[in-house]
Amino acid sequence: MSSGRIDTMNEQDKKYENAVLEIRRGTLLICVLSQLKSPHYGYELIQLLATGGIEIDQNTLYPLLRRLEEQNILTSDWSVEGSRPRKYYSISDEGTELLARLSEEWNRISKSVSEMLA
Amino acid sequence: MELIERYVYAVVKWLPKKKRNDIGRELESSIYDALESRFGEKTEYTEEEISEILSEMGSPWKAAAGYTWMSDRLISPELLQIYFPLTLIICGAVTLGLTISFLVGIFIPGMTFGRFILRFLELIPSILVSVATIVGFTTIIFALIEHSIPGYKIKPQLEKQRRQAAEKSTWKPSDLPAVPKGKQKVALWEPILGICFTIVFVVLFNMFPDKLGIYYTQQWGSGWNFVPIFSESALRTYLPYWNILWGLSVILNILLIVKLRWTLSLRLFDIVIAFMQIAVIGAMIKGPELIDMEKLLSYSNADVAEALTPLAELSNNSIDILLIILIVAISLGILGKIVNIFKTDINIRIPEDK
Repeated sequence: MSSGRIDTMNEQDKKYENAVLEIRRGTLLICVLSQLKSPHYGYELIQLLATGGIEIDQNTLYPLLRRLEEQNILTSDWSVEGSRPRKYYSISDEGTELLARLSEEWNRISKSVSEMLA
Repeated sequence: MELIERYVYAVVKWLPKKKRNDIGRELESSIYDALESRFGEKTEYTEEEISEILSEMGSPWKAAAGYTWMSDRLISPELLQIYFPLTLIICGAVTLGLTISFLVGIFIPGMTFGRFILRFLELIPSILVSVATIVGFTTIIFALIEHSIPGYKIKPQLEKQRRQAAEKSTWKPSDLPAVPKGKQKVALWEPILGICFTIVFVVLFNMFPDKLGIYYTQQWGSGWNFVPIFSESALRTYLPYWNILWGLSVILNILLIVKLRWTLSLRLFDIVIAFMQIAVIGAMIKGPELIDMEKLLSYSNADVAEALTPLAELSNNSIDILLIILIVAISLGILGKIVNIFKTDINIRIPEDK
């Protein structure tokens, strides 16, 4: 969540950005899990998410990945392929199950919200 | 590249030991990833390039914040509403109580201006200590309440505000303090141990000077007897100075804990304290005798007096010799500290094998 820009905005924009941040926080987990069906390292994941339109900074993502690993939702591995050792994360079995359930719920929510906005 | 090392060190400094290594490696790896993707794969990056990446990553505080063990705070805002007023009220009540007892206490016969000042000066530390104790206990109690009530959530709104407030101050990579190397490092147990021992000395010499002496027993099981060693006049003369010196050394140790490194000013502080110790010990050699031999001998019974006579022969000159040896030891210590300054804090380049 690149929140560095917030300081330079006016009041209304700040409220908007805060609300948008809330939405992004809520969907972050699903987005991260969805990209880790194959192994990726932190920096790679940031780029992947950015390509998909989700901007997130290192200081949010890395601790999140670590917490998810502690909860057995992700697994990690230090790999020495390439020029430097890198820590690769991928989704665990438990994580895959979690993602499936979250996707269902996301579809439900998204449908409800669309209806409410109509 | 040292800039990167400084950054990573600043982030992981206070993190739990187990995670420190892994988080540090990952962090360093991601810094290089960012450098590569922006400036291309190189063996060395310029300081400007590194600074640019580090500035974007944000201050080490910000980076470390996500990793801290309790990313929630100790007491949530909901409980804080109660915590603050409650603590303030209790502290106010205790302060009032202490002040009242002080006021009552000064209206007694025989009160002199000197004694009044003394009582007043005693009041302030006792208030401070009581307040500190109260704040400590209420904090612990509220923190326990916070973390044992299941399902107690923190409102995300306030958490975000807190984060944004923390980011407010601008930070540049050149702010990063250098990583302590070799002799600059301070292992945490050293200053902690230093403080503990200093407190012990302070309490012993101030509260229980009459308990410092020789404990002896004539036969096992017949009970212990005691003879105090230090003469009262000596204590009265020198103790205030030692208290000051002990206070200074506690301050030094607290600073060392906070910084976790020796800096030039801290070393100078250390040396100044050592010189002051020499001055006080020097005065002790010249001034009233430390050990009151007559008192010692008159105190005890015949058997003990006999045993203690060789000790009595240990004239006060010998004590002075001991003190001189102490001064020499401290002086050697000062020399060692000065050498350390030149080795580490003043950058004399010693060629290293890379």
